[in-house]
Amino acid sequence: MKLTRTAVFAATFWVTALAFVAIDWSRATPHNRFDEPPPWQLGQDKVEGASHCAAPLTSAPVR
Amino acid sequence: MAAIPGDGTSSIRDEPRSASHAASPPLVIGAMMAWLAITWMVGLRQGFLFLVGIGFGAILAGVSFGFTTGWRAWIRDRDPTGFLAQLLAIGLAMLVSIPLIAGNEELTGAIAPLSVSLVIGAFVFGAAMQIADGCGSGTLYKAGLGNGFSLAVLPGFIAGSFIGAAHLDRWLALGSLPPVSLPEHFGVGLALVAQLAVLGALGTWLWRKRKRTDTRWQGRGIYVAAVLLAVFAVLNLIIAGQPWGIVYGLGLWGAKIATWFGADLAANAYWGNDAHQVRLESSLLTDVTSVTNLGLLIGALIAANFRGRARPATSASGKQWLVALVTGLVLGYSARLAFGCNVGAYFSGISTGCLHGWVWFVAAFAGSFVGIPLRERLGLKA
Repeated sequence: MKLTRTAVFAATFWVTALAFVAIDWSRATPHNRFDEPPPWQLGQDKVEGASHCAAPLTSAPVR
Repeated sequence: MAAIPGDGTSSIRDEPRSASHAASPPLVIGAMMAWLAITWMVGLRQGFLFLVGIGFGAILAGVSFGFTTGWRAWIRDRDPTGFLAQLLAIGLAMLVSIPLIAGNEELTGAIAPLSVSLVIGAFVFGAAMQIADGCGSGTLYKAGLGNGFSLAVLPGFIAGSFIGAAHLDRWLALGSLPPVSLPEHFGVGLALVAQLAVLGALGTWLWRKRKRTDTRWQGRGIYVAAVLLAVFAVLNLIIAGQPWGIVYGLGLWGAKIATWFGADLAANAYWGNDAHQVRLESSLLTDVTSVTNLGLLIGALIAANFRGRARPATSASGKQWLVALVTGLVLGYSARLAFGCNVGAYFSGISTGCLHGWVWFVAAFAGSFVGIPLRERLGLKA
């Protein structure tokens, strides 16, 4: 199979991405499997700490 | 030229379909293994969100559902197809999301303040996304396909998102009004009717202003994709408790890399916040936005392989590579000032009834009128 420049780009990207996830996992606080949130949020107690692009610096009152 | 998922550059070409089809089964198996690994390592919720991300990526790449291209096709050619599909997806997601959020306090919308930074950030983002030929989702999945230009944009996008969030307090000091949730302000019924009326009026206007053109989106596929996008957006809300977003994850990745190189973000107004510190110390696989972003990348790759368009050949001049890097930085930085990109602010903001989504849309659309001629001046013609 002819190896195109784009294939090399794609392969480099995916290797980098996998390495990033692996390094991050190795450096992160060990995950507590007994403290996982329920499978879905609807109908469950609110889980604090989830972050979204729209979240401001602090919780502001909503008008 | 055949369509590339979510883009429209003449500098990027498809390769023969037959070359890519063979790679699909291993990709699907790889995606299943990744899903099992995520579920095993960090739980069912993150596993489900990874699948939702795969759905987003497959839909976007499957029919070339580009937010950036949809706007550009209308501005330049008066082709309303892509833009109308966006409005359809937002409207359908809204019809379910707003009542769901109103009736379940454990779910939250994309609620952001109406700040000076929002207007400036969205305008600049709207211009930059036309130059980069991709918003948050577009840049992400095209990079995963090996599009060299998007690969050059992505590192800048990640760095810009991180730096923009770190500077957010200074931008908010320029002036800001509290967030306005339309359902909380006017009630669910009135908010739905008002938003549907605006979306409908906008769609009608786009249709009336259309010109006869060979649209890149042939058939009903783009509208089927819009319906599916709305379904997956609602699933994201139900599972994560928050609407679909992209940019927070990219900024988080940048912040993580910065801490690996010794940066202490504990004193920063944004990254020093308790919630963000927890995210920084935990695996990115436990982050809602990051895990959907990863799923999106894989879903797009699978869909593009299925279509035989997974390896768009890329050719660009040295100047254009530099443009890509700088534009990525601007995209990321401005997205943080604007509290999101096309997904987190425009799609999720409007579909969950937050006024900031509408402000973002107006400012970013105006910015696109600046970005399109700039794109052509830089030799990145579609």
